[in-house]
Amino acid sequence: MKRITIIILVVAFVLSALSVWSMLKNCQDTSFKAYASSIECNAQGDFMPAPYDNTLIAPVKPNGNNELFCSMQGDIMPKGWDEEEEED
Amino acid sequence: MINFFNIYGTAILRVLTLIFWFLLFRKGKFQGLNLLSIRFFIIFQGIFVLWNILMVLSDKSNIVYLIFWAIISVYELFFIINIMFKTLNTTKSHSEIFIITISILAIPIILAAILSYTNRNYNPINTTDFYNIILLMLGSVIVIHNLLSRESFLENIESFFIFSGFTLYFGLHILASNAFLLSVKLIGYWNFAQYATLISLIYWLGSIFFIWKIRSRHLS
Repeated sequence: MKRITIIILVVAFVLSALSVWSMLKNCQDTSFKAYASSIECNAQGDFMPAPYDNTLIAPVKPNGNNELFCSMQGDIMPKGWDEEEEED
Repeated sequence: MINFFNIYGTAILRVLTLIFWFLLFRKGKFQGLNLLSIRFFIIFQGIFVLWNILMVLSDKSNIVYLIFWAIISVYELFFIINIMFKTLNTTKSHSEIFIITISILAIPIILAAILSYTNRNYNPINTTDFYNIILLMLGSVIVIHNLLSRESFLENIESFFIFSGFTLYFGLHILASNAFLLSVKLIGYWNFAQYATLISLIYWLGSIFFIWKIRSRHLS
């Protein structure tokens, strides 16, 4: 039991240290770039918080319409009709 | 209508999950670890419902979000690590280790919320949430393992569904996290995390039916 307790404490300590280190390393980045690719905040929660005031652009949805092109079953997304016609 | 469900669908399912699990808690006779798990789970859903109400009503959604994110993160650690220690059959002296563990893990959460507020960006909480979720998923898997191997499965059927739901929830949230999505160049965004939550809520809601079926068939 003592071994399990030590393992739990070590894991907690290592993860906390890693979390603080990564956080301090990245915290100076502005949210501009993240918000531009609409990934500003993806921590837990049911409602997304408002962007901070220093973010002056609207979120851009990457990939344009490709995302809406096909949403049926399958592991690999088919090409768009326009793309195929261009290739022909 | 579709837009309404896109925005409020998760919050509506959250309330339904809370109501149905509360009804289950009131109607059934639970004891020991199972009782504690259900009680903690209902409080967990209750905090989320309160968080959602304040997010909708408040003008300062940034501050509300950061405060409740910190509360729910510490509570999740408290919930899962507490049950994990109990399934490990630890002695009373281990309660001190439990408090130390929670305190160590709460430091980055509080620091992340403060840094997000002072630096005006969500990167600190995204980073901390990612590491916490890995730990919480491991904790949930350990609890399920202990429930299946040591405790009576049928007596703890509710706990099994709660923690398997948590494994699903945290697993999908890891996929939705910045670190993962950026590394595989998937489109990272809030919607992905929202779908992850939605799937887990459907699982928890649906599990009520299976619990009722299993209990009525085997334990009546």
